[in-house]
Amino acid sequence: MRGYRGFAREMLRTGSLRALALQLKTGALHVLRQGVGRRRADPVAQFLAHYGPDGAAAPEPAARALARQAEACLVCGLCSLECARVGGRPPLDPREAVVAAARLEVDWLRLGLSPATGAACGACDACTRICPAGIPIHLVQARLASLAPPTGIG
Amino acid sequence: MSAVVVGAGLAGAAAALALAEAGLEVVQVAAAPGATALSAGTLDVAGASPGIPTLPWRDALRGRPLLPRERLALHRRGAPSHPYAQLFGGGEDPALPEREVEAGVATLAGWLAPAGLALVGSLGENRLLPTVPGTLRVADFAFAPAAAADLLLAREVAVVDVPSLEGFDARALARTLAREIEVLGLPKLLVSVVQPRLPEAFLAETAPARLAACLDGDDARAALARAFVGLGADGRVLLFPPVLGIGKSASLVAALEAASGARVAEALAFPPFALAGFRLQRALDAALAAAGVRRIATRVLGIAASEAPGLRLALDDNASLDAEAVVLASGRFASGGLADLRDAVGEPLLGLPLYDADGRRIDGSPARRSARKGYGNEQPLFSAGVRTDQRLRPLAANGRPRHARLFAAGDLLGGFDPARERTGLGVALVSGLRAARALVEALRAPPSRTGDLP
Repeated sequence: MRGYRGFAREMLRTGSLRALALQLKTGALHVLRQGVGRRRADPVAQFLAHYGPDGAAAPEPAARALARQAEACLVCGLCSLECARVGGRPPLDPREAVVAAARLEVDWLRLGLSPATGAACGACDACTRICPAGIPIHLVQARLASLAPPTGIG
Repeated sequence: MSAVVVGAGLAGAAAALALAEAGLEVVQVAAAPGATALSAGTLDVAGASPGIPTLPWRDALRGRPLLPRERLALHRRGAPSHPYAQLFGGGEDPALPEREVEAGVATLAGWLAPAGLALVGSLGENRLLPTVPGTLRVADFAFAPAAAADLLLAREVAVVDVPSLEGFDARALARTLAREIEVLGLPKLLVSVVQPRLPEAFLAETAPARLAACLDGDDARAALARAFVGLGADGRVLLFPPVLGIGKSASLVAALEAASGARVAEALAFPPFALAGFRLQRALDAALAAAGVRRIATRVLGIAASEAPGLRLALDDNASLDAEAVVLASGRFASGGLADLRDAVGEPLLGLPLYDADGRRIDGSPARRSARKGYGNEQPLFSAGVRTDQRLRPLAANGRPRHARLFAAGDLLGGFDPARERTGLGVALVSGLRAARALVEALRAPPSRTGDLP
């Protein structure tokens, strides 16, 4: 917009009325095309059309809520230690948890997650009880386990 | 007589244990471990010189390293806002800080001993301990097995390579360590990397937490010890990554030392793998359970004066808890003792006024207003906390104690930056013990007419 205005001002300054007329015509055409032209596709639908075959899915409200909670992660690593102590295999890796938490909103790609994350969780909630940030980590784990193993970048 | 302690870190644990020893019925309320569980393996009483957040190695005036007791005295005299100044007074008794810290450390060591966690050090000597990245950290007191890595007593450091382990690079550690030793002008020290023939199971393990848990087993301990036979030498320190067991590290270290003939130590590690802090937290929790302290694992939502002279705590799930007296050791931002709610810094339980190291009141204003540009600069937000009277009772905005039977301890005390000044655990220990003493005195005193001072 700013560019257009500058251009028009320049036209007026140099007195090039023909150029200004051309400018107005293209501007009007642009507005017409935007207003009455084809419907703009929903970006989410567009994304899913591309990546749906790779296993992408739209996040559910519950997953979004979980992601909001998981954003409080301090990356302190206590969940990982506590999981190992109570004999969890494999213990949750805090880095993976953070990645998992962030990806829950856009869990169609899940980059950086090992297929084992979440899969072997015994749901004992020892991690949740030790989390200083109050994140329901066992729910994050359950959510991860419910997802298909990552297919990588297709 | 009964008391409630809010917080599970060192300050809360010290207060609860001291209160239980004084014969009180103690309830500890904590939702999760505090910042103590994230500590690196040192008990920092006076880790850095005031205003110099680097190694206090060369003191310009004395031409030699400052001893911990000298740094402690500087903290007490240098900054009037520092809790040490409050705890130890203006200097009427010059030996008081030293005496109280050493007594506190001895008490703590006694509590931790049953869990097999040794606490070593003194205010009269420095320890130079290597970290996982290879940098050096000055410590006064440290927990085993990190404490054994003291470079001032070693002639040779052999870094143990565990190639599969994530986040640990023995060669990088050795390189950085050699450079640090050179830069600091320390006596020449041979730094090398050893690659023992580790048992098969270890070579496949990538997660440090899982390796540490595995090493608690008897078979794993014996197998690892066999791999180190003959790797020892006089004055040699075998520097391990911090994976030497979670609950039984003392017996693992003993087995390794017996097999190798060298001193066995761990490098100091930081979150997300603060194994040493986790061990400390576990040992404290065990001591609390043994002392009969009841633990309620829930969040405290608020504290208010109840029927005089006590207090009532509102807990999660609509529960409440009545207390004759309360020690508030809820920490700072990481543990929820302070919070940035609705774009304003505050103390969520009682709305206590908060002050930074310069005495500015900073509660009620956005956190960003207490931040300064520049990574190394002093950040007022990091010194935020409550002010107390001589008996560690937090002050209300009018400068009088908020409640006659409410005491504060640990990082919640404002006026200092525990991470930068590296006095956090020292303040937690001393103030926790002091708060317990003040609480017992308050309960034994004849009841005051009103509990809640306006």
